Amino acid sequence: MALLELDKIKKDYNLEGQPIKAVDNVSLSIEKGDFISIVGHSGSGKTTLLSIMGGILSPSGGSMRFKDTDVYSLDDDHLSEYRALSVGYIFQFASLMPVLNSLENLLLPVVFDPKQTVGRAHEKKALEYLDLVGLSDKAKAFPNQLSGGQQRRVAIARAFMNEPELLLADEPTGDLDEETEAEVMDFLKKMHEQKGLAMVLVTHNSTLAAYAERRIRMTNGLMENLIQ
Amino acid sequence: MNFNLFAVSLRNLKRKPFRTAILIVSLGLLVSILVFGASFIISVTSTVNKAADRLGADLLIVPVGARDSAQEVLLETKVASFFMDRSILERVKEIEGIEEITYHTYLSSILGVCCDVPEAKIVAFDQDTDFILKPWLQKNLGRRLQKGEAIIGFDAEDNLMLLEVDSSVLFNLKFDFVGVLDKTGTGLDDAIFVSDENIPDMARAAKLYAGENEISVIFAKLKPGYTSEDVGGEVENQIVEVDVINRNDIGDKIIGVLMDINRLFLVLVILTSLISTFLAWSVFSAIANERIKEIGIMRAIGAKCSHVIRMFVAEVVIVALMGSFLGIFGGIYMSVTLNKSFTLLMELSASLTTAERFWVSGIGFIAGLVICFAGAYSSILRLRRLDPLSALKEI
Repeated sequence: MALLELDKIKKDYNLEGQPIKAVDNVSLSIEKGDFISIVGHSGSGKTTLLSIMGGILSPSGGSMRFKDTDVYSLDDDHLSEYRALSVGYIFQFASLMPVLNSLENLLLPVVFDPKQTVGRAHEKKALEYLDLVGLSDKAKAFPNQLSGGQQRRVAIARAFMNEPELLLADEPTGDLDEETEAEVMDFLKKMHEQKGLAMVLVTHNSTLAAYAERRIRMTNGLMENLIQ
Repeated sequence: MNFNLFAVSLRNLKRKPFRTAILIVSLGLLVSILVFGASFIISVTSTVNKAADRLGADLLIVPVGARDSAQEVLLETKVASFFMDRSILERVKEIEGIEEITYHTYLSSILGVCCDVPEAKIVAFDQDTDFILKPWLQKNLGRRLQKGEAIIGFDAEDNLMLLEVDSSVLFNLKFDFVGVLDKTGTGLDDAIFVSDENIPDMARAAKLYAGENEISVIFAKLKPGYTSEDVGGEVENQIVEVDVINRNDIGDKIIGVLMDINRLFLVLVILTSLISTFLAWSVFSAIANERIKEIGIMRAIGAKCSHVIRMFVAEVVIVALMGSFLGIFGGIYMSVTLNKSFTLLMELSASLTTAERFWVSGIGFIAGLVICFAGAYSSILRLRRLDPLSALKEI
């Protein structure tokens, strides 16, 4: 059974009266431990497809099953639990809560987990993740005290806090310098291998896409397998 | 580590401390006006009601034209003397419907002229017929008041500086103080009470203008089945030298003034409530607006709609609680300190009971919560309807 199964997923928009097919009949099967990259130009539909996978955006048609559960037939609370527990999402922009320090930003997904209450074990785990992204000395720093790259690394660490089975990364190294970009990608690759989680990486950078074992190109909402 | 949604709410409020403080203070001001206004109204009405209950009479019969003076003596701390002939007692007794009567004679002391207390109400009462002081005398003294003995009202001890004094000269006669009455909430709390057996001696010693055949007010209880309006009307018809105050009309002059003040407070409270609600609405709308992006991120990483609402509601509740408590303390402080600035309150023995203070505080507390929630309502609805992607698109 696939971890995530997309079947003829469509997403249509209406822009000033003109229908736009952002995602057009995309079918995709993601197994546990897969590392997939999605490349394509701006507006090709790759972020839209990733948002659908992340349970953030309802498709206009088709179905998506996560471990045999039809994700978009879930009610809002269960869909939120899918986002909180099954998926780790890395946004293409700085996505930290400005009123929380790095440690608290990492603990936020735990607050949303209905089965857990933040405790010492979570704090220890968060500090370990901060250490893994090289920011152990910034646990008490607030986002406005961190550089853009450091904020991005905190957000990446946060995506792992609830031990998701599927990691979705949207241009995770967008505004990082080359050295940090390589560090982040090595970290993601390492986590993918260590934890055996499935990872989908959206990027327009072919070097980064090469980290993945399987590559997909999106063009005008249509999906094309490059390397299977 | 204690980290939860409530901690996030607190951090959110601390993000713009000045704005949060403005909202809390303005809410506090509204609540304090409400608490002060309610305290004022309740203290005055309860004083009037307590006074009527405490006197225990259905009718007060006073000399013609002394209706206002009598109420001033009974409800306020004013000193006044007015007299009518003692023979009126017998005529009142014969009127149908009258069950029991007693009387008071009000004498005014003047420091250095007749007495060694400042201007005070000296009340002479008839121990044989009295039903106003009798319960206290039976309970605390256990005997009749002797000639040359006096008891003092609860506030007179302070107001007349009689705390350390065992006796005093009143109308050139020495009186021993044998007790302090319980607080009644009436104007009689400021009086010194003596038995009417002393009047002839006092009149002789001080060449008092009130002779032993003069009394000030007759208190009458009615037989069951008679109304104070009917019997009072009959008293006025048969005895032209007197005016009658019905039990229900005691304090009607004060209540009339009070109703005007009440209306003024009501207008003030409505206007302040509207301004506070508008302020709360604009502040909470601004808070919701600037959080859209953050809420989108929170929803995308797994926050349920209920998490977002709980976080926002916690902020509303924190502001409401802080504003309400600030307002309650401010209102109580104002009602205690400003009482000295209001003639009406100064002259009444007005003070709220603990239960009344709790009740008023409860009103203030509920008002603070209602205003905050009314102001935040549209923002809460908006956040409820927000889906993760629409929120993220606001970036």
